This record gives sequence, C-alpha cells and structure tokens, in this order.
Amino acid sequence: MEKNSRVYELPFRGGGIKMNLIDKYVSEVSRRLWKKNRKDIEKELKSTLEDMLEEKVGEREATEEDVVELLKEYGRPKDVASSYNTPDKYLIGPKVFDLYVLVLKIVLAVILVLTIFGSVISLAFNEGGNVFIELFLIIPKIFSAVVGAFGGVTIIFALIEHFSEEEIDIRDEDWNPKDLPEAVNDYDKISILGLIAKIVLIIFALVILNFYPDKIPVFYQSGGDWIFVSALNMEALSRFLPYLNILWIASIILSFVIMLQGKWDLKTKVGDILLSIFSIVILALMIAGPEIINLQGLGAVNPELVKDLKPVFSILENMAKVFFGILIAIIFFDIVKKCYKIIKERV
Amino acid sequence: MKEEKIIENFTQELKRGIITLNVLNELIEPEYGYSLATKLQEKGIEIEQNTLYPLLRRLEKQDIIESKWALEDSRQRKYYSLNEKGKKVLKKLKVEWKKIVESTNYLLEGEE
Repeated sequence: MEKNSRVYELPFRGGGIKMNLIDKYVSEVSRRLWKKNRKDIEKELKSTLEDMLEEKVGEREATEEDVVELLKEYGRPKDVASSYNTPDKYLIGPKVFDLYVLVLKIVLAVILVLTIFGSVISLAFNEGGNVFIELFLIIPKIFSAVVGAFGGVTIIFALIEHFSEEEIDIRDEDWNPKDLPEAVNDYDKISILGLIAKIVLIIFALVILNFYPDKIPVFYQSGGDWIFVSALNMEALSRFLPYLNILWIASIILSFVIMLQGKWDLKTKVGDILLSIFSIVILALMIAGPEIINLQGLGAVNPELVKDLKPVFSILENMAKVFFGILIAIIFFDIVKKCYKIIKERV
Repeated sequence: MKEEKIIENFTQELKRGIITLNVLNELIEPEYGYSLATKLQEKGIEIEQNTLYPLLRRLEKQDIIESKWALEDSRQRKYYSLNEKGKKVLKKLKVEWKKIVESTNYLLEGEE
C-alpha cells in the first residue's frame, strides 16, 4: 500500500464523514481551548498526531491499537489543552464561554425589551405625573434589571464551569482513548441547551395561543393599581393560528430529530431553512392582515376605557407590525447565513 | 530521595532552562513542530510535544518567530521560523549563553 493512503489517514482528507479516534481526541482537546486559538491548534495537533503515527508504525498499516497507544502517550485531552491555556483557573472557562456569551445576550435583550415595554405602558397611563421625571426613572430600573440578570447568568455559568470539569476526563492513569465521545464537524455542532430552550418556548407559545388566547394581557397602571386587558383580536388570531401551529409543531419535531442525531446534517439544515421561509410568509401575512392586537370585547365591559385606551392600542398595533418586520429581517439574514455556510462546507 | 533521582531532576531542570535557546537555534531554518522535535531529539535534546507546541505559540506571541501553513504530502503543516527580531534575540542569547558557560566552567574547574 502506498505511504499516504493508510487506514487512519483517509478520513482526514475529505474533512470528514468518517470520524475516528484522532478526530475525537483533537475535538476533546479543542473544546477546552479558547476559541481564538482553537482552529489553529486543532489543525496543528492533528497533523502532528498523524506524523507521529506514521513514524510509529513505519511501513505497515496503522491499527486501532496503534492509535490508542499513541494517544495515551500524548496525554489526556484535558492536560494537553491546559498546556496551551496559560492560566489554569477561571470563573468561566473556554468550554462554556461561547454558550455563556450567547445566553447573556439573549437574557439581556429580553430584559431590556420587557423593562422598556412595561415602563412605556405605565407612562402612557400616568395621570398627572411629570413625564420627564418618569422617563428619567426608567434608567435606574433598566440598570438594576440588567445588572441583576448579568450577575445571575454569570453565577450559573461559574457553577457549571466549577462542577463540570470531570464529566468526561477519566481521572485514573489508564484512560482509554476509545472512550472519547464522537467528534462533530464544526458546522454540524448542535447546542442541546439551545434546542431544549427552543422546544420549551414553542410549547409555551402553543399552549397559550391555543388554549388561553384571552389571557394575553396589556398591563397599565391607573391610580397606583395595575390593570390588565386582553390584548389579542380573536378573529385575527383564529386566522393565523393554524399556520403558526403547523410551523411550531414542525419546529419541535425537527428539534427532536436533531437532538436524537446529535448533530446537524444536510436534511435537517434544509428543513430548518424551509421552516424559516415559512415563518417569514406567516409574519408577512400578519403584517398585511387584520390587526392582531385589538380592543374588541373590551368595549362591552367598559366603554369609557375603550376611549381612553385607543391611543395605546394604536401604538401597540404599530409596534407589533414593526416588530414583525424586524423579525422578518433577522430571519432573512439568518437564512442567507445558513445557505452560505452550507455552500462553504461543501466546496 | 535516591541519588540518581536527584541527579535526574537537576539535569531535567538544566535542560528545561535552555530549551528555548535550543528551539530558537533550530528555527534559523523553517521547521514544523514534529520535524523540529525529531531534529532536537537527534541532537540529544528531548522535548515533549506537549511542551514544544505551547512554547512555539508563546514565542510567536512574543513576535520573535513567525509561522506559515503549508500543504505537504496531503498534510497541513505549520512551519515556524525566526523573524528579524528573533535573529537578533538569538544572537544576543548566544552571547549570554557563552558567558554563563564560561563563568560556570571557571567556577567548576576552580573547585576541582
């Protein structure tokens, strides 16, 4: 057999469908490194191990046992990684840092939107107070909400970092490279936490919109009391709901499939993009169609209130449409990004 | 601790102290990590891969060596070599090394 076509070298060239021990090993080292250096070290480590394997076996074909021996010699992934990472202790290490930043962004965005939204609504109903003072008071509110969320998320991740260190590393001296988990191509990595969060959110939305649509409220403050009124137009909702249900149930099924597979593949990626396109269509219909936020039904209970609330509802209606528009833009760019990635990894 | 063990430990320490000098000296010509380790080994200087790669990264960060990826025998290899600053550093380090050797020799021979 020719020198460069040994069993353990073949998978590396195509960049890989067939995973093997060296890939698993490199992947275990790399996930413990800071993202900045990851790609480079990964590449170098892989080529070094291949060189060492070649040196080790000489002209004969490398067996799995050869690779196992080589990796054992090279050291545990954790030790190899820590030789690259200068300080050994950190509050939030490279393994969870990317996820930490992602969660932080989402939580902060949600908190910011909720606080501003709530404040604007109470401001609209503020009777007699000085609007500028009220406006000014929003700032400390936002500040404390943001600081609180930041601290909370950081503490949770510090705990994850602290308690997760030994999950895969085998402490005793004779760790076996065969026990390493499957390595997954970068483009195909999934975030279990993200998928679970997605499924929970979708189920939440499904239950609320299908069974308790009248319970979605708009809060406002009147004379020190919080009052809420139902915010959705049932007629408009019943028009869009079937599409939303199809979209969401399909998304849940897709998320489960991805989780079971443990990685993305071309089929799930295409499915994901199709669902994104579908959701753009629904959002566009919702912008074009009847107002989803409405104060029908409230008139029967309290006609005076309807008059009072008119400006608020028209603000909300417009806000909803702007929000849908922004969502369409975000989803659109996401689709473009995903298509680009699919093309890039296939070329 | 046994005598041999103590000697071994001290020798290790000595070698570790001059490893950077050895590595820099080899990098006058471009080398990739594995070839560098092999060459050093041939010259009687053992270095663990685990020590070598982080060291190379550190030297690169200090901007005395530079690296370049090259495709060779269907394998990606990262070639390291001294840059201009590195060459100057090596030259001065060699002078320092000679001073150390001379003074140490002087001391050691004086004792005998």
